[in-house]
Amino acid sequence: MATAADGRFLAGGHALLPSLKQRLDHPSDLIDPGAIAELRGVTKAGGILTIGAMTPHADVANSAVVRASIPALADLAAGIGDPQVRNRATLGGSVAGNPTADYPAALLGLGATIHTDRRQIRADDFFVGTSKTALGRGEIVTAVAFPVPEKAAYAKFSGLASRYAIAGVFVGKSSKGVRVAVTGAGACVFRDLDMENALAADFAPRAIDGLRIPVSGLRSDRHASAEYRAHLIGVMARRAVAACR
Amino acid sequence: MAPPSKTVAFGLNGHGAEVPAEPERRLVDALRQDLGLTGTKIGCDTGDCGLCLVLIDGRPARSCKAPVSQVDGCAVRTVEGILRDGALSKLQQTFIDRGAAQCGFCTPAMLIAAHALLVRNPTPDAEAVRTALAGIPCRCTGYKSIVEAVLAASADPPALAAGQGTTPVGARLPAIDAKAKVTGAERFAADLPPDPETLYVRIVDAGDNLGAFVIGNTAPFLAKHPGIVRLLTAADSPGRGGSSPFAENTISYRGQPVGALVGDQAALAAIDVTALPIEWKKSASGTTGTAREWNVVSGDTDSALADSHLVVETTIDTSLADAAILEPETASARRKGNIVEITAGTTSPCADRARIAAALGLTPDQVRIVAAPAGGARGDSPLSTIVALAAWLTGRPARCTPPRAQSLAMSPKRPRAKLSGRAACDQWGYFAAMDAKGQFDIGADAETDAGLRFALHAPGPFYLPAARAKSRAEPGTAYAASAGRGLGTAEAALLYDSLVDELADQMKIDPLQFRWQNALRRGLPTPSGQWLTTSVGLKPCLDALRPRWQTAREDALRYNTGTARLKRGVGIACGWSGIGAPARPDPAVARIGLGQDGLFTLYADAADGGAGAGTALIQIAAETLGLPTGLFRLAKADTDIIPDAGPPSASRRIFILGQAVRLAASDLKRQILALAAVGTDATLAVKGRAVTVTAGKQSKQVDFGSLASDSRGDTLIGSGSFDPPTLDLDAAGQGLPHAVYAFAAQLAEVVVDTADGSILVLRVTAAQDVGRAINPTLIEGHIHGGIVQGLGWTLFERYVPAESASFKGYRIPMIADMPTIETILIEDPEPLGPFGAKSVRDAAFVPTAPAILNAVFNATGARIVSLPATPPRVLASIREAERRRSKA
Repeated sequence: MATAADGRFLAGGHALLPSLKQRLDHPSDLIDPGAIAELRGVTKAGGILTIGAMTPHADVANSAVVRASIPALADLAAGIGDPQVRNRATLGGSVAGNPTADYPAALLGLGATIHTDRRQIRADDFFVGTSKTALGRGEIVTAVAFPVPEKAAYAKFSGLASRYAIAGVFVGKSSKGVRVAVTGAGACVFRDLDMENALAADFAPRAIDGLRIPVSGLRSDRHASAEYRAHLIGVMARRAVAACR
Repeated sequence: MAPPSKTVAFGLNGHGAEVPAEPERRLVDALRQDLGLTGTKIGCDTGDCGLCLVLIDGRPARSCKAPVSQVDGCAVRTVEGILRDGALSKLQQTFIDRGAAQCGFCTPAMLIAAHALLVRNPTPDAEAVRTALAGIPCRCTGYKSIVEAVLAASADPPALAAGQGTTPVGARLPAIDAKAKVTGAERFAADLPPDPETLYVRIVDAGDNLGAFVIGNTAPFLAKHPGIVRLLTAADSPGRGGSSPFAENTISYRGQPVGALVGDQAALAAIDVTALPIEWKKSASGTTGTAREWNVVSGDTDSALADSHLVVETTIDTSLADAAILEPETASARRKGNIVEITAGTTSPCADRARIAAALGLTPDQVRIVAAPAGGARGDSPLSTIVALAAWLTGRPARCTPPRAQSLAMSPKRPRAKLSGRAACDQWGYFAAMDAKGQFDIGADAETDAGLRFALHAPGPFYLPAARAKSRAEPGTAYAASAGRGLGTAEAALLYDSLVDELADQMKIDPLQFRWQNALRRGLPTPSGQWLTTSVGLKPCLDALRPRWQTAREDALRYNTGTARLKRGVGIACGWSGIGAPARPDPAVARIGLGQDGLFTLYADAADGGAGAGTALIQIAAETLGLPTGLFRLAKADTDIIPDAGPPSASRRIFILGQAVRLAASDLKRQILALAAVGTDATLAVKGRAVTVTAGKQSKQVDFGSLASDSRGDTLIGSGSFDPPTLDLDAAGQGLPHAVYAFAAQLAEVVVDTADGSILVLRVTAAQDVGRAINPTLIEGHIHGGIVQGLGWTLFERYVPAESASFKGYRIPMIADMPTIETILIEDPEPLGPFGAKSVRDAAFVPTAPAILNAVFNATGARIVSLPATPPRVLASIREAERRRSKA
């Protein structure tokens, strides 16, 4: 990468290949980190589950280790796209490429740490805006470390041809408290602190009943108004809390 | 970028393959272009559709998203590699037997994904099959026959429904082209290797611009691009009066072609077409043309409404929808002297020929169309005409596959409609009157029967003492209109069946019973004053649904006790669809030749997108001649060979062309009997190069090997033509618009999530009056496909310019959306049809949308009045219904 004028890292190719085909991107080089074995696979040590950036979604969904320690993460991976996508698309590509995808909700909802070739970044500092992350130029995600929670669950509502969430909510409960991450509804994945406080006091779907979910900052398009998305956030959050295990 | 210095080697279908290691090269391109394996299809080219699926190290993957560099050392398997020892695998055979391949464009991807599943899990259940095939779209089958085929190929297959009868008509004969479709051998238009001399065509479209435009001096632009041979515009098309494929001075619909660049493929790809000197004089609406209106009036509707016991009304609107054909449109053309030959996926080669000849200023016999198998393509886009013009003017072979975004932009759309109406009944629940209005937003000069078909069908398949239906096709909305499935008739059903359902609800009469007691039957007139005297199988359809209706309604009632957020509902709807063009001649011609080789060739325009007309027509011919279907073959859909049979619209193929085929076969039989001179009541048998004619105890041989033959090897040729008897309509829409109607009724069972507004269709039970089932497997396949297309139109499909530029922005039903489907075929033979058959295609689609919406009403009390019924809309309707209830 150091010698490439305007290189692109190629993960599963699911975002990059179509944009090359449509001539939306003109990289000087394609760098394929998939060949590096340590970027692929799952390990667990001391309450931390670490997944290599080049691990395809199908491997996360089918990993006995992931299923035993964070079943919500395995379920989330099993619900992305379709089998063909899950066989090729990777955690790293998803995290670096689209802050409104499903995985970012898990990273934020579990308080994960993103490992790059240069440093470690907390999920809270990683997703910074529309199609924007804290990654520097040429910086590459190598792995994501997920603290194993007491319980967690992800609920999403899609209904789109792209299968992206109109609203998805990841709820994680650990000794440090409750985290609620919302994806698909805004320009970038975000935490809902009101819900987190309410659930910290009473970890049950009813805790969310009285909350008003702010509409401002939510996306409004022909699929769904911001009001409908706000409504869905509440519905999905209740479902996630009820499904937590 | 550095030139490729090395190659990539990988295993391919058990052999080795090696291709240049260009980093941006996609596996799908290496397979199709370098290695000639065109069984792997490109559907969208943007990574959205999944049709390019292959196995990489045993795992299904999109080959358009895999760079060849990433398969170095891997094992790749494509559809060409799933034969077993050179013979069909069990899975391929079950796909053939179950009718799992209709147009066949998704078949390779489906087969590969199913193959991978069965390797991993030899005894999958239906849920495992649905999971494994998720992400691969199919527009024809409704997925049901595909799932059944995979289950049938498992190590523990369910029992197969036995074929019906031993005669050709009624047999579950596999489609004649099914084998090519399951082996990857079928060559769609984009699979044909281009001539090395080929010039490529890049269409310049108007994008979202409407109104007037001016093309400036293009000479400097062309001078700067030496790879461009020529720019075609309306000035190059001698055809005038709307026959030019290009806009002339004014854009009349979005995405309309204004010109086309012809030249070298690489040069075309690199060009920035926005640099062309085109000035867009932005105007609000550029569409021209005049509105057209249709009326059907019988009885005094106003008095009947005023005097009736109960009147209900509603207003419904629909959205612009695209056919979303999976195959990328492709046309190629070459000029041979004074003839231009076009090869393209099309379902109407003869109509294409007339249109292209007009645009090029040629006579029809100077234009030859060879129809490639159509992967859902229809042929009504301007593509073929533009490519033909390029070949005609440059003298070199020309070819074009427009990118998916451009194809979606310029392809004709199902128009938006605004429907409104009132319906009234007496105190016993008998219809008193129906007053229906429909407005269709139709692009300028569109040739469409949408408005007329709406007016004719809007009162519904019921006996009405008074009815008034008015429709209007309004230009000015800037989309080309297409002949979508059930166009006009499905909109009519959306309106009348919503009104019928509301009447039944307010009268507290069972909705099925309400429809039954009002249903048309033999001896009653339609609102067009047409007395129905033959096949009217609507009441038998409703009777057939009764058992499931009662069980399902009771189940839903039990399920809905309590306050759970999920509510179940059951809805019913009736459909009818006049077959063929309304109130005008609609003839078809067919011929059958007896070849010197002892085989019969059917010359009939059966070009279709996998509807299987060719197979059914062969069954009709074989039945007529009393011979096995194996002796028959279908001539290529080539306008030099086949007679004109009109377009496949309004489900007319089996009824009209089928009757022409039967008459042609009868004519041929008469000629054979005349040669044998044994009388008219004889049976035929073919052995080698002779036909044995047996009448009673008398038996005679006709040795056709010794008869003179024509250039195609035919010795005797039988001809037949059929034009269903119709009469013109008067100003009140009274007359005889359709000789025959198809009838259907469907029952939908849904679950509505009252928290998020989503609808899940659990089950559809369809009863359809088909007259006579020529091939039950093919017919059931149409009904499954009609239902799932109807489900898509009801719940998802909405074309939005720019956003719907790829399959990612246009949702169609996927396998996870598929309900359980049960089909019940009702046979009320139609004397005018071949062996009593009527056509099935449109009528299978028509009742689905209202049945689903009526089920949502049954579940929630909310009437959905906008299509598609998206979750936000449904949720809003549910909230509104709750508010009304709490007020009341």
